[in-house]
Amino acid sequence: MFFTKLQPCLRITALLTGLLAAASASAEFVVIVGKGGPDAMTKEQVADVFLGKAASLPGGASAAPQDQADSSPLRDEFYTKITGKSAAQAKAYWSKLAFTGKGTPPPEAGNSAAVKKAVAGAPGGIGYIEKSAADATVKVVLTVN
Amino acid sequence: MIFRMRHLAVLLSSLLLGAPSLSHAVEVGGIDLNGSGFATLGLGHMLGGSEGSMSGYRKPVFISDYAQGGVYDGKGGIQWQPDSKLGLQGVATFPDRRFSVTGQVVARGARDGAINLEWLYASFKVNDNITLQAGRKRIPMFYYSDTQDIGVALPWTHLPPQLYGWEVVNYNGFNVAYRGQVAGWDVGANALVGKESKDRSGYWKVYRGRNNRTDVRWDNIVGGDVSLAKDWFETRFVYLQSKVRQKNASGSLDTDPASSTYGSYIDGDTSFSSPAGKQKIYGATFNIDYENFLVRSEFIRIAHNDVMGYTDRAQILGVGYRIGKWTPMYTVSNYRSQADIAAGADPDGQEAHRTHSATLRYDLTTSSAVKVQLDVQKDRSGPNYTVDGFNRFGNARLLTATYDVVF
Repeated sequence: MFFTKLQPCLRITALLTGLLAAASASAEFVVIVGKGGPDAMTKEQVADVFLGKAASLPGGASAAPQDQADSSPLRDEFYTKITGKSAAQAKAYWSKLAFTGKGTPPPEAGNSAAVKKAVAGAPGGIGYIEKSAADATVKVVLTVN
Repeated sequence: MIFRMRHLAVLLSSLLLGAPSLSHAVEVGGIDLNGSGFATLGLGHMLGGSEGSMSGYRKPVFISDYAQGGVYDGKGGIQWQPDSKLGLQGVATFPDRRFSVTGQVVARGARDGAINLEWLYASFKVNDNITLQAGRKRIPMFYYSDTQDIGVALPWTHLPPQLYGWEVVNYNGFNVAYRGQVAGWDVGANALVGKESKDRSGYWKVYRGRNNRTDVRWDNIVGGDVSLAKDWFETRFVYLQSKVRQKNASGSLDTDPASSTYGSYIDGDTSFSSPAGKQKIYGATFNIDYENFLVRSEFIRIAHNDVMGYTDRAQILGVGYRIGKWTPMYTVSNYRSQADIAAGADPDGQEAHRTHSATLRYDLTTSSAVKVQLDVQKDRSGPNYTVDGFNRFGNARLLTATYDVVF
């Protein structure tokens, strides 16, 4: 009787643990650059590039940042964890620069595969994708949990 | 006029359907062409306040945009014109990436949908930090001057009118801008020279009647601003000066009951005022974005101490707190004019008003937001002050809601 009652509890616990693990896994992303880019970057260096405060990557190449699509959950997570601003706050920040001639926001790609392709193909390319999407065509410079 | 207003209404409504990317680019002959835009659909309803009339408007009156003549009045129902606008921007960047040309046009409900050229300037990037620009730009009087039309970038449905209410907002001229990092601070600096001509000033319609024509000239504009930002703190200082002239072509309202022309407009100017007055503008901003707290504070002092003989002072203080996609905010904005009493001005005839605003913002997407705002405006002018020669400013309670989008 006791085990009969316990089994559903264990199953629910296992399910919740699995969901939490999955959520945790989906929260992990990497910042990538092209093969000729720097070996590592700090969170602050990445933030400066994606907020238009730094025009070049460490090493001197002109930065070509690539954003995820507006609707991507990864975009909100990236801006929150890297810049301390939500994706909406970052867009408001870029609106201020874009409509006053002080900068142009990073172009958007449809998904992580498109970001990876754009980063790999552009000198100074830099973007962010799920950790599981990284491969040998790009170099991981920062991993964020 | 009706045709223009209907088109603006249709365009604004169509933007409710989606919020695509901030920039749309094509390349033509090696030149990158970028197009983007912004829009605000604003709806307002006057809840109450003083009764009567002022400058041809039925009270209660709330001026949401002095420079454009955006006025909510007491005619009842929903009013959409004062805060609604649609802007389109194009940027052409030449192959060397250092030279670009930017143009921006805006159609406003406050201007009956007329399309105005707001920005048109050429930029040359000397290096990563220094840019030279020439053309038509925004006068950087305030922290939000550059983005005063970009609703998504503002925490309010409209800018606090006590601070942001002046007669011109653009200039034609030349500026040198610096942007970089110094000792761990993000530093921006800008120096400018230029001039501005504004015919049929919206600002003066508020004071001289909604059908008034006053043309304004700001000559010899010289000044600059410096902004410093680090982590959660940002500050900005500005100084500007210029010559100021105006031509009140419609004339002034005759307020002498003994006059045969009492109550009508007389003595219209045929030439600009002479000698020109000189104004000196001093401003300071202190903003905080600490975790979920945001504080917006800004102060300005405008001295017209020669032929005009008065000083304007205005301040705002706003405090908000972000809760996910929601941002409630409370703001107080205050304005007081102080005339040179020693030169004969009436100490009880000075203009002063204050507005308390409660705002709730919700971020729909990264590119769009909706806001609801309650403004409670209190006339604090001297007992002898009248806006148009007859009537006081009055109190007003206004409810506004906006949908803001960039695309």
